[in-house]
Amino acid sequence: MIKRNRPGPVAFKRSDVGKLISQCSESADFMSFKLDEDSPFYISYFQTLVDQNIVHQDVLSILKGSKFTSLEEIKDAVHVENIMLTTDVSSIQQRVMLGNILIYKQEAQPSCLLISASKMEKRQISIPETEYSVVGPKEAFVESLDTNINLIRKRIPIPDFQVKELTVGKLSKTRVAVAYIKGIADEENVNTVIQRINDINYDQLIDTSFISQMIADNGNSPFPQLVDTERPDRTASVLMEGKVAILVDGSPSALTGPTALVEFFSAYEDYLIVWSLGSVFRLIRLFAVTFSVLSTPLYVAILTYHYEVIPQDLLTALVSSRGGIPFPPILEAIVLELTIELLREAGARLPTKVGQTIGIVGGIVIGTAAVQAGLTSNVLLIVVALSALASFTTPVYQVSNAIRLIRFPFLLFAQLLGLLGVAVCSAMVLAHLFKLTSLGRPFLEPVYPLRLTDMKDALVRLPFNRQATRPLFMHPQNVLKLQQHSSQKDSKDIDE
Amino acid sequence: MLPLPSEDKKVSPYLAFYIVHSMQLGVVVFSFARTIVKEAGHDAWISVLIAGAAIHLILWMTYQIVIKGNNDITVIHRELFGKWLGGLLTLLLATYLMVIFVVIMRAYIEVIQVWMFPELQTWYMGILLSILVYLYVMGGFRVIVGLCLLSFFFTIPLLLSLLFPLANAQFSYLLPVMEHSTIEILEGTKQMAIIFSGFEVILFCYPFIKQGQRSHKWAQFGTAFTTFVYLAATMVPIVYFSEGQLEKTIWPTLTLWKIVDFPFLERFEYVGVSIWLFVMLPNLCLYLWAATRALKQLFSIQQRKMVMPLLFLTVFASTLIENGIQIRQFNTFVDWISFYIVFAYVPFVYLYQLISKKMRRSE
Amino acid sequence: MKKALFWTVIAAILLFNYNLETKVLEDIQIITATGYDYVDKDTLRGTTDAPFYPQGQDVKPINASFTASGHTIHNIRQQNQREAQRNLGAGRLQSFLINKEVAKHGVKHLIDPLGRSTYIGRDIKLAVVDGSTEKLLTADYSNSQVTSRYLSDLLEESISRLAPETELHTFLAQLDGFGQEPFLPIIKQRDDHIRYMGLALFKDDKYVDELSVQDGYTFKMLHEKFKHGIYEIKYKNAYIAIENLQSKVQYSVSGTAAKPRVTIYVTLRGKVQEGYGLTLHTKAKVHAVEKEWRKEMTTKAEKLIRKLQTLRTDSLGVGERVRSHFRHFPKSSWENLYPNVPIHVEVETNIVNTGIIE
Repeated sequence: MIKRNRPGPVAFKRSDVGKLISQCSESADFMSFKLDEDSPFYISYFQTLVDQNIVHQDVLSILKGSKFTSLEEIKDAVHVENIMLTTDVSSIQQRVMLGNILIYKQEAQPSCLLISASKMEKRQISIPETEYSVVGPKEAFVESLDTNINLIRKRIPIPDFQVKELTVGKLSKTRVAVAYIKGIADEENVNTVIQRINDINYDQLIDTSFISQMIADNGNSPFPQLVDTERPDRTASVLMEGKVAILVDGSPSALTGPTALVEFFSAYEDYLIVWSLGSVFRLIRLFAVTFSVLSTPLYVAILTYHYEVIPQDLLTALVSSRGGIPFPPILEAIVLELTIELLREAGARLPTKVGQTIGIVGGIVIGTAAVQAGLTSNVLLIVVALSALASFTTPVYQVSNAIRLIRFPFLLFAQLLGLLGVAVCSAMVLAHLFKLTSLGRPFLEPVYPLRLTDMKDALVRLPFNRQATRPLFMHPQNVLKLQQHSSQKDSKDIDE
Repeated sequence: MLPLPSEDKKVSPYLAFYIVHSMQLGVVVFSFARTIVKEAGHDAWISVLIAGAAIHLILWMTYQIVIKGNNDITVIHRELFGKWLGGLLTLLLATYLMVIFVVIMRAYIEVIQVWMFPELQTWYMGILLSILVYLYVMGGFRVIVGLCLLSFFFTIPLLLSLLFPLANAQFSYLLPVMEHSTIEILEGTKQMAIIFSGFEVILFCYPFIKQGQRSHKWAQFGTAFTTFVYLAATMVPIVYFSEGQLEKTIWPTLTLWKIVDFPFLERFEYVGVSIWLFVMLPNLCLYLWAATRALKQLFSIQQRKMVMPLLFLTVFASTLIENGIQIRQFNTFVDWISFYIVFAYVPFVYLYQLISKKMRRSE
Repeated sequence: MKKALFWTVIAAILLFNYNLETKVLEDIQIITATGYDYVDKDTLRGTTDAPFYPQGQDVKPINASFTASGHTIHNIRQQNQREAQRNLGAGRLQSFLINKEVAKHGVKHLIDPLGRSTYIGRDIKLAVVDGSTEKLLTADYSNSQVTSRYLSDLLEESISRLAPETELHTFLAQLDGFGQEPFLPIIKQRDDHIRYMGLALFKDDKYVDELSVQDGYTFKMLHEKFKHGIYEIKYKNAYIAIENLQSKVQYSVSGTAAKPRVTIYVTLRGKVQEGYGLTLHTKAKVHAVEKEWRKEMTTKAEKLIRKLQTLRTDSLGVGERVRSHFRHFPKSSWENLYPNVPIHVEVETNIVNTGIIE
């Protein structure tokens, strides 16, 4: 039985490692004991970090079985993959904190033996939640960096796929991996990413979204400038296009960049179905987003200032639905929009099942009651509900937040200047988008700068045999995706 | 003299198409048909074609000037006319750009005041427009050119909306062709040529275009497209309005929009005036950008520090013009300057440069 | 900090000086029809229909009309405002009625504000009323809850099938243009319906005469291409109804500027809809009907044109065609030339089918 030895062994002399041991001993889960009464070796480790099986079967049983005199002997005898003899205190500290077993001699011998026995608590790989797709792979990233890299590497089994690892966070010491394919990805993008991650000076790094905000070109922008995805297939796919992926230990998602606005409207599913359907769905999403941003502001603008533009038949419907509502259109719209936001927030904070109930209660009960009570018009209720629905069609979650947010300034301007206000606000948003960059690459590409070759996979997705080149805007080193060979199919006559 | 801009500040040559096109198109699309029809009657479309051809020539000269000088006009001025005279010319040109800025801004504000919000104060809308211009100009040349590109896409509704009046068109209004005398048609051409002006900013932004020589072709295409748009926007009012009616109508294009009729939207003019913001905004932005760039070359003041004071000045100036009659008087005056800048000044600089190069070579 | 302060000041200036007047939809009583009656040389009596929507969900509009006298349209509207519960807005005006008496005295002063204002559409329907517009607009009709709705539907959907298309724009264009005179449909209140009565012909802006419904239809045939309506012809003591499938018209001018000659080519394609006792199984028989049809249409058209020429009103726009044919046509001479210009009508008829029986 291991006897708890606390505080640290008195005999211990080496000040640096000793300090470390005594510092760690403050924690209840730190174990430090002498192997045997007559043995010169001390063993220390964090009980919560190590795998008990390794400790008992691979280490303690061997150590107790025979008499060792030096650490080298132990090193040879223990059959564990990662064993290291070192004198460097900082590396000792680091590895102990990662779940290594520390073995040292009582005497003033400078070196310590570190046996890797870390225990990895991790979730099983599950299906993607936010980017679910009906067809195609159903794997999603988990919180373990190694598993995540494994999921990608398995899809790109070539040595050119490289991973650079960095440690970020003064306190959290988070492992961050920058993955790219050498020979395809632009070195400049890789260097920019690595340099920006190295420049992060913050004590904790819990998730990729921290990085996304910290290394964004414009951190104040509501638009995300790196795509956040939980799908390894999507990540692998964009890596092969020449992008750079950033993975963070403990985060079930990957960041990829450089990116452009159009990428936020492309679901990975678009590639899994026939190109014509994929293109149509993409256009529908684009329309949905435009509709989502503009419909309520246009309602407010037209009802407040320009009743002339409403056709007669529609006018009758609108007037009778608006009749008797005590609030001006702007107030009505803001209240309804806020209600929808409220429902969304409440739904998001609650477990799935309860969330669904909230949605139903909010949508049906509150909506119907509000109309019947004469507080809102049913036309606006339809418009607001549709635009909320439309904002969720974007495959990337972050951008749908941005879309819902920018609706409010639009509403304000619509109230101030009617249709002209909507135009003014659009001009402002566009000015922002024009200035925005992602890792230094223009965010509105391929629309501006107009690049027709990149259009093949932007607003629409053309068939794979038209996708001969990688997107040019991120300057891939190797542009060609496939070898073009002329097909005989077209020249054949009917019935030949 | 400033160093030439670095590669990442430059734009691709094909964007010259959008720069030239969007600069030639502006608020004036609403009203120009009447001015030329007053001169050339139903033959006004011939004036548009002749003016388009003339502008192609002048644009060629403009490009020759900047290609030979391989820099913007401020540097070329200094090389040709020396520090003081050249500087003075640059200053005058920059002033001209700012005056046009005021004209465009005031004209658009007037359209809004007449068609949408009669009670909107000039300075109020002026400040709002200035904020927009500020946002874009501070973004630099690339961002402004992006706006030019955008404005091109917004001219498409204009072209499509011109199809609606054709249902009620009476094509006999166009006949007989060439009924008006050559003098009348040329009078119309003169009016039209002024409307085409705006491409002069090429003189300032040439160094910002990658492979400037290759952009020449695109600039000419841009002018051709503008000619097409203006041709359509002249022909349609001629066949839609009777001649007596057209001469009375101040904004024929906007009046045409009144009959555009969708199942979900009628009276397109309200939407049209709002969308037109995107068509006139690049004009404002590029004029201001060019003016501040010129002043930077002259006095080496940072461009960003010039933007705000100049905007305040223009808002102030535009409030001084109070009503439609004053706007049209001021317009006529500025048109007169524009005409001479395009048809006298540009050819003059071109010839002067040609001769001085020859002289230098023979020396 | 300085920057934030600056933008706050700008935003504050913009917010505090904001002075646009909102026109919230339900706060506006939308004028949908107006009519003007004759009082004396300078005074008009104007009636405005502006249906009122009571408060509550899914309400039905109530007829509301206001009448007042004044010299200008806008003054009359201000007088109307004295009685209306909401701000009257004319942005969606659809029908504009003119009493025949007013039309006889000239309508320029009535039409001018319509052409001048920005908020009035270009496609509103004008009509001349035989009788009092006030009575027509204030009456209740059994086939519609809202009077103005009935009126605008009648003008837009029904009358456009029987009479040449007219709207504010065509009226203005004809008024200002050379060699054409405006015309408008005439309507009349009859029991509890409104009825289309024919076409009012204007000389310049003054009403001069009118055409019957039949002649109005012939006029439409000579004026524009269209595809609806029925031609009724008498053939061998029986009446045949032919449905118009397509009617095209083309003007051809020849001669000299001093002595122009005009030929109007009309092409008609029709389908026999009614013809009891008629068998049309051979080509010759169909030709015989076609010939009869042609003869009848030519006679009607030429009679109509003679009438227009005697009235000296060029409602068909012959002058505009003549002008466009001759270079430097002396416009001032047209006035005297018109009554004597030889205008021929050439009708080509074509029966495409005879229904599902021969």
